[in-house]
Amino acid sequence: MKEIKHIIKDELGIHARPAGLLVKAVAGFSGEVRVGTPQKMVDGKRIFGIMNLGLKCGDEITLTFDGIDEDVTAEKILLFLNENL
Amino acid sequence: MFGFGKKSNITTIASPMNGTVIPLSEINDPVFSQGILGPGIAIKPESGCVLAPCNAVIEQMFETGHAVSLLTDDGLQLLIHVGIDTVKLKGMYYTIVKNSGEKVNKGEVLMEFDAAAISAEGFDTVTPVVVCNPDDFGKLSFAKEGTVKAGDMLITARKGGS
Repeated sequence: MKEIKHIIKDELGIHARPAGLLVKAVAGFSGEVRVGTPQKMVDGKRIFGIMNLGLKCGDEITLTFDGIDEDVTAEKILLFLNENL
Repeated sequence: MFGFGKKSNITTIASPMNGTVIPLSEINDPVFSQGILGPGIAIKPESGCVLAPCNAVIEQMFETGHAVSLLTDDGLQLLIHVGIDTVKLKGMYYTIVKNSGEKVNKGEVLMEFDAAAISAEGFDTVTPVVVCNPDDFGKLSFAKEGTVKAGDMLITARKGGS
């Protein structure tokens, strides 16, 4: 399993659009992705759960990747997060 | 489907507002038009009120009031997003009536918005209504393009996957 952390810099937090883009970004990964905070982790491939975490600017999110290509995927997603969120 | 006392296996989502139905593909925002948030339909609003489209629990009333996600009693995950990019208004022109976690019945007012003011700020008020968990349902059907009244059938979904 590979774990990454990211602090949300988008002042609007993770609303509908970023949740959609994140799900799209991880869609190609065949393994399991979990997203969230120590309080609540959700399926990283399902928009509803991510959106409903209500993550705000300044919140630290954790993502875990479990499966084939987990290292490459984690790196790719970290790049995505730095560029978009 | 036949006989009394038998539960229908069709989930019905009503229109949350008066307006004009257009296909999601006509929305000028790829996140919606490409179905990234899920399949659905859009309404050009003619009223400034979002009503519960069915009996549901409010999963999240965004604190900006521009969008609301609902988990219907039948397990359908629905997002109603009033306007495009309207998160940027940071709550201006939106009045939240119901909050996250509340149980609502079809027809109850969830939020109100000032469509004229939102348009005047340069935002499109078109309102996508999308299903976030289509895989949990079978075929989805949508209302035809044209005039729709709040409470009219907007989306139907067959339960139990395809």
